[in-house]
Amino acid sequence: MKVVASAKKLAVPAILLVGCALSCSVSNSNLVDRYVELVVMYVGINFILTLSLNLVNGYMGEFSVGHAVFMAIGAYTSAIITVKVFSLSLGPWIFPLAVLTGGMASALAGLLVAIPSFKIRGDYLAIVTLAFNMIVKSIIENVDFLGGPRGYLGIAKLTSLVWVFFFSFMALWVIRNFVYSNYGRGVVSIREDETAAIIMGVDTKKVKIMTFMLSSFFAGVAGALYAHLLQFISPKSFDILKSTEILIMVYLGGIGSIAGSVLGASVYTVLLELLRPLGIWRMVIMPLVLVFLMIFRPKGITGLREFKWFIPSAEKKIKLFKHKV
Amino acid sequence: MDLLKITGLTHYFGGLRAISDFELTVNSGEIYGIIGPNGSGKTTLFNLITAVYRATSGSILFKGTEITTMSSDRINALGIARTFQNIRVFNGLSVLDNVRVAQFNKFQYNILEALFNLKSFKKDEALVTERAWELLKSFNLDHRAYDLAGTLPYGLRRYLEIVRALATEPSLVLLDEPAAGMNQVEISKMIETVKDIRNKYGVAVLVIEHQMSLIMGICEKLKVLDFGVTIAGGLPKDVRKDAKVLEAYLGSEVMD
Amino acid sequence: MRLGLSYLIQQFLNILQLGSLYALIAIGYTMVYGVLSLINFAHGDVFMLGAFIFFLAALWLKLPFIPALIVTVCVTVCVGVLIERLAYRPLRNAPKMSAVITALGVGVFLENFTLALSPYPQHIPEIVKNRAWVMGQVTVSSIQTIIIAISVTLMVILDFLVRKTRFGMALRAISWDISAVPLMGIPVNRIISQTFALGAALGGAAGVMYSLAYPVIDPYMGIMIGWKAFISAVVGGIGNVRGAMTGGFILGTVEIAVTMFLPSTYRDIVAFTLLFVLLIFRPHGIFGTARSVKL
Ligand SMILES: Nc1ncnc2c1ncn2[C@@H]1O[C@H](COP(=O)(O)OP(=O)(O)OP(=O)(O)O)[C@@H](O)[C@H]1O
Ligand SMILES: [Mg+2]
Repeated sequence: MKVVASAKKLAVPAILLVGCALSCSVSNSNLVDRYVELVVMYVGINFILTLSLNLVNGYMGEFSVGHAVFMAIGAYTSAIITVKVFSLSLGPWIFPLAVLTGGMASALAGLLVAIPSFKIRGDYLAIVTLAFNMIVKSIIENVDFLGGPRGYLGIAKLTSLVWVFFFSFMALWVIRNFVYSNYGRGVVSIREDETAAIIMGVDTKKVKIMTFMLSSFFAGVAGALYAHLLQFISPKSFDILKSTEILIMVYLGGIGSIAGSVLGASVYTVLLELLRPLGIWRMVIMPLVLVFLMIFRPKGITGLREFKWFIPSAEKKIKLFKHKV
Repeated sequence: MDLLKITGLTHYFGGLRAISDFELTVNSGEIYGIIGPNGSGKTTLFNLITAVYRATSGSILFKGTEITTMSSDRINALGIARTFQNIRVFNGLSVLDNVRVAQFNKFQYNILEALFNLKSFKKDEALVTERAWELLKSFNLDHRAYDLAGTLPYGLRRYLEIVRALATEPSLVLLDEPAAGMNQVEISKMIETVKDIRNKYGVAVLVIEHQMSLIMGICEKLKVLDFGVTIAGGLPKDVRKDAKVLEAYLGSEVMD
Repeated sequence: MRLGLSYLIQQFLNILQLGSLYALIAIGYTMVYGVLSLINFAHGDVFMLGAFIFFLAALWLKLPFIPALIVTVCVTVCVGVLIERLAYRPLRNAPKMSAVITALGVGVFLENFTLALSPYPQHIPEIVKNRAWVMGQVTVSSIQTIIIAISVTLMVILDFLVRKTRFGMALRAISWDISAVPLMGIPVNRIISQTFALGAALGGAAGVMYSLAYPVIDPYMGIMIGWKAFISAVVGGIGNVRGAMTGGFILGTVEIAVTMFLPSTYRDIVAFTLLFVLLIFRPHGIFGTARSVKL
């Protein structure tokens, strides 16, 4: 018994270590094709984006349509740090710090949506998130320091498979812990019945602030990784189309489920790559796939179910299968 | 000491006076009944106490604290919990989680401890879970603990609402028609439950009900509302003889 | 003088032109929202299709303006009704989010489909001879006149339809409570189809007129204009047809006013910041009211 318990305790750091070591050796050897490695990195970044939006749209039941804005804030903040504040030679060591700072700047920006959400709900809150997306994009376009509409140049390629793995894993683990805590239950209770939740003592303001901040933090982290992978960002990289793409991954995979975000991000990213020979027509097929999925499987691929691995052992018995949202 | 003291409570919906000049004092551990014909303002009273609506005028004191302008979750933290006339359990949460989330005011860990799965978080979670199990067991809901609340039959959802209310550790619960739609056998079971709430958990109860057997069986005091106005009050045996009450109920309910 | 009377009149005409385009599109959003509580994300793209079909009608079929307008409106009506029939109707009883995401998917589909067929921005040939009348210091162009005249006519007709006809009554009844309506003998499906048809007709017409005024069109043009029109609908209180029209003119006014005083790159910042602030203080738009919760 005791051995099992301590083995469980060690599972999380062990997976993290082994995963990091593995991804490190993969990128330093020629075992895996560079292109495959790149696609895997995109899957990881998209997974962080999807899961973070899932927190707000899936678990909390709000409808944020401007998630790319938090990506933008993380991307620009981290890029400024690695390019302007510290010299590039120092870059590799400063990189994780820059990513975290990007995430934190983004989390602060999340407050700007969280506070209106006390009063504004549903489709009107969706408009607020959209407006916020547009405002920040236009501001970046008008600031020369950030490169304006031409974009921000000179970012070093600091994102590697290890860092993508590390931050994806952290996102998964931290958001899982959150979802299966009483805060997380508070989040779902807001989705189910906000009035009843507040009357039963759920501090909905606090829950909303934490959820929006956590969600935008990880979106910022993903943005930072994205910036240092592409080495070029511009306001156009974070417009409504990008936000829409994240939304599609969330609902494709399935709301209110970590497994859904893993699947949504992987299926979407990989399918897009597989369909690459079709050229522009793949972008015609993808939305059709989504529409068919919504008509025939409105709850996404996973439909609120969860992988067993993602559920803390104490919570495993809860039956999530039969429910309609 | 007075647990709940309401004075001069008035509420308008537009031009409609749903509650006018309402007075009520509930003592600790008391079972108090509110009756009245449909649309007489009973649910509105509960909504005012739990700050779903803000009273047009009047004051509500709970344990000596003015709660008229407080937010619903603060009022709950002070010790008032309720159930709803149209059941409002969290359908997408399991039965167990419905009871756990109601302890939102109780657990101690902060957000970082939760995010990084630290010891204090696990300890508190275990406590919250244990308390939830105890409550579920004593109301015979434990066998459905892992099911989603939305899959429970009507009767069990009523009980789940009561358990959820008790999980917030209140000193006063407001029950809005707990026996609505129940048959005689189920009503007697509900009567026992309401008594238990007071006797086992020491919680005062303010109950709205149309089922006279429940009201007359357990309430120590009564208030009768009609069109928002208090038309009678006092001991059940006096109220049932009151001419005004009989008139208000004429043609709608039978007083026994 | 920069802010002289003639300058103001000139800007007022610009406001009328831009505002009526927003208003026309906003009506489509607001009516669909009224009956289905659904943000029809594809509506902006129906507007875009309107511009492209008009382009084809003028370039290939060599139609003059009025026939080209009519053909365009007919095609967009078909598209609008088809979208509802194929994509939204199967989801009428599904979770609301599935319908919204479907709408989003249909929108992206229309954009990329058009993009696949026409990868470059297109220039609309000059169909209407653009004459300019100079009155004092005010210049009135024939295109501006056409746009304002057609838009205002369409809006008056629509207002009449909504207020005075059986269709309008049914529409308002559905907006009030869709579940009770079949009981009253109203054919819900037909009314919803007609709502989409009307919305798409106005959207298509707006597309035509937009491409007269700004003759470079591209497949993604519906996104930004669509969102702005939607915002107009929100500002006016969504579900409210007259509100949507007013909202369109308010947004037009704000945008033109901003470009009068600031570089035009600030237009979106100011417009969206105003929206942001408006929603914080009036979460249901200027004319909208919250439906109170009843426990
Ligand atoms: N949110 C609201 N907006 C407008 N009027 C309301 C609202 N809530 C209640 N009312 C009105 O106030 C009056 C009292 O309603 P309330 O729900 O308190 O009655 P009740 O005594 O609980 O009736 P019942 O026995 O049917 O539950 C009714 O006329 C009702 O229509
Ligand atoms: Mg009631």
